[in-house]
Amino acid sequence: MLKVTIGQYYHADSFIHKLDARMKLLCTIIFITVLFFVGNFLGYALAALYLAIVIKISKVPPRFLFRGLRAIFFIIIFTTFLNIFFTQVGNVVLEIGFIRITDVGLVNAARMGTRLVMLIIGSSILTLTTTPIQLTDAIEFGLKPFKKIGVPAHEIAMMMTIALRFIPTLVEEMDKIMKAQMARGADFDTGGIIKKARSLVPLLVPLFISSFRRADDLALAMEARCYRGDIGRTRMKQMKLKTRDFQALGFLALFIAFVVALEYLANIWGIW
Amino acid sequence: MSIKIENLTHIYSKGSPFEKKALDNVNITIEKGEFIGLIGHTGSGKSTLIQHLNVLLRPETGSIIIDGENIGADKSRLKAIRSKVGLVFQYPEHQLFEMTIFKDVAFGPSNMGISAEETKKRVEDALEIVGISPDIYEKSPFELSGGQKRRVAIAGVLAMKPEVLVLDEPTAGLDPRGRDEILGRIKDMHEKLNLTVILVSHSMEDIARLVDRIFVINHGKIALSGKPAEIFAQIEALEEIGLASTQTAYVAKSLQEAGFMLPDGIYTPEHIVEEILKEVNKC
Amino acid sequence: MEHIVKTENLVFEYRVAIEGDESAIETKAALNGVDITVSKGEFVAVLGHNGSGKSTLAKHINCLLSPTSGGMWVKGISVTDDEQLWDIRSSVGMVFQNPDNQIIATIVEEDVAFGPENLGVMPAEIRQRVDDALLSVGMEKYAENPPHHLSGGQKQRVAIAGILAMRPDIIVLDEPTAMLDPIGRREVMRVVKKLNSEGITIIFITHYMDEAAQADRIIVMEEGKVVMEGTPAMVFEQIEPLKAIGLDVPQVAEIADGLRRAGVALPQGILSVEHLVEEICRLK
Repeated sequence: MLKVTIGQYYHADSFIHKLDARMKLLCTIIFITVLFFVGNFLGYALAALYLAIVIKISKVPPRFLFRGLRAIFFIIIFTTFLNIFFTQVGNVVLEIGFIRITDVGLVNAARMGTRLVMLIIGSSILTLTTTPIQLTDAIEFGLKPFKKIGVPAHEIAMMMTIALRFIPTLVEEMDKIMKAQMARGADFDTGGIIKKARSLVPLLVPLFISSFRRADDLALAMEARCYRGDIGRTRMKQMKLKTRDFQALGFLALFIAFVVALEYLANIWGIW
Repeated sequence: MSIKIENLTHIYSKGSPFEKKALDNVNITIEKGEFIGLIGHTGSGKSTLIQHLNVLLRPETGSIIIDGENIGADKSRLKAIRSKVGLVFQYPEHQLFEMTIFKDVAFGPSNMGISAEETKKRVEDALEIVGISPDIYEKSPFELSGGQKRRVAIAGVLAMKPEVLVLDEPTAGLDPRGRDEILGRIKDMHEKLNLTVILVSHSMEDIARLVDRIFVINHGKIALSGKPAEIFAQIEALEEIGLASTQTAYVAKSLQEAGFMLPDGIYTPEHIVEEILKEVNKC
Repeated sequence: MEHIVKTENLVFEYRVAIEGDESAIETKAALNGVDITVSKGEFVAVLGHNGSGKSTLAKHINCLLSPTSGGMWVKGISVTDDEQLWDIRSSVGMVFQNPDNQIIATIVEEDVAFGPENLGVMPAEIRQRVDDALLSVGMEKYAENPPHHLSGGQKQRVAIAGILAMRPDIIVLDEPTAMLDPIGRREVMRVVKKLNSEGITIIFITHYMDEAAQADRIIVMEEGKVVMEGTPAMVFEQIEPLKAIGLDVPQVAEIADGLRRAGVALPQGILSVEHLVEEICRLK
């Protein structure tokens, strides 16, 4: 079975869960931006501490966060190696043939790896503590200013909601079709790339057909429930910023203040 | 071709918080040529059980012996076992994918490396027994009606020439006409091809019409087993599981309680009419 | 009694390409002159096999399809009146066959809120309606769950709650139990009967005779026409005609019929086990 953390809400009753999705989205974006400005490892340690505190408060078991990491493990490895091999400035640490590894390269790689890991964990906390629909609402809200220039904010949000709703259904369906074709002797594991690609046809064709059928049904059901885009539409859950949202923002601001201070001190003391 | 399931236990997501015991020490013996009904509601473990029969799930605890061979023991025998035990999933028409009916049915046999000539013969035989006429072989399976699609999908499994045919809810979502058509074809397959058939259903009426023996599965365990007459008489036990006996069985039971001398194990309308007439005519 | 749904010579035609000839088009009638009336608060079951036109009829009630000719009125409003389309849709709820394909949101209560949100109901009012609707179908405990973990019967109850939150006068259910197991079927049936007892008009399409037997009235359709109509007792007495069009009869009706044929004097209209047993006991 496919296990994708992104878009998988973990139900719990915590301070983080109760935060306004827009605030969480904003905080996540700020946090990620800050990650890319942090240059020294004390800053990363601080960011890690910040994340650890947030995870603790969120009551999400850490293994759920690491599951998200597994999915992009190769991207992390790839970026790390890219940094190691393609940074040519600094003192040479190791040189084999045309491969030259420098200390700056290693530091850059470590930096990039750390950033990516924290980026994923940070955004996973957002998706794990925010129902996809709240998240979609937050994105819709964020996109509203762009509506004037023709960005279909509501439609994008609705599409995301439906996609998220149907991911588990389609994963389940794929599992079923795969088993059914295996029962007819289909083999998805062996053979070269071409054979493997061809063996996907019996899997993908039924999956597409079923998706079309579902889309058809769904459109009908939505129409029957008076859906007509965002014309005259209200929302049950009104997004209202509460005290706790400002507390969260304050906490983040505090973190940024520390990071900036550290950065400044690091420059003075000459640490990385 | 006997099937012997011994102490089969299966646990999903072992060790995780979602751990679920789907099968709990199941023991079943099925003889060659038997027509078996497997009843249980969603989540009872019946899907897990049938997936074991053609090694889509490998027995973790316990064993399944088919024709003296312990299946799941040898990975290289996988294809051979899968062709011996044909498994028709729920809504099998959802797996159709080929351009033509013929090609779709040929998918199974060609996966097994059978010659084109033999495949052709098998496809024709399989389509004939499900009642698809040769003039539409080259049609796209997606142009067929719901019931026809399902029969084509069943033919796709039959073309592998299984000795055991397992069908998971073959009548789900069909109208009465489509249901009768499919059940009639399954009966044919059992009789003409001498297949061992395992029919999974929650329709007591369907089961009552066809099978020799019934297993009722509940919470991963075999809760009841026996001939239809024995099973359908156990109204309370069935209700406890959330199933119901046939309406006829209820009538028979009420009449017995009212002092009618009816034999036990009546579950079809024809049978009860006959018995009531005997009683009424006595007076 | 007040008519809430009424059709007059309702015809719906659609075009299909003729096989082998790309340009030729054939017109087929899914509904071929249907005249029905449904009274306010009634529970009507519609029987008929696939392709008999029953789903097409259902879709007309919600204006998802519009008639080729003939007329149809819902609450006195003609379905061809485009300006009143949303009025009709908001008073007619539809529940479809596949429980998976009608739930839009990723959280149960958000899905139930979808309808009233589309209607522009005020947030506080939506909240109230959602809570009431979930309570009414017995799904209040699952308000914050994701729908894909629910059983089929539970999903259908959520779908019904989503309709209820729109406060409809009529609910049309198009084979809502076809994909469910016996437990799920019973759950849905119980909810439907409860809603009917609270005054909602129910139009229930099904293949299951035991479900149809619980309605006030049965309409049997075949080839786009109404071929039989009446109380369950009246309809299920017509064993031969029903079987001729490929439909079932409840076993009780079949037993009663078998006995009658053998010369046993049983009254007409026996549909329940209790009734049949009582009548047979009287013979002794």
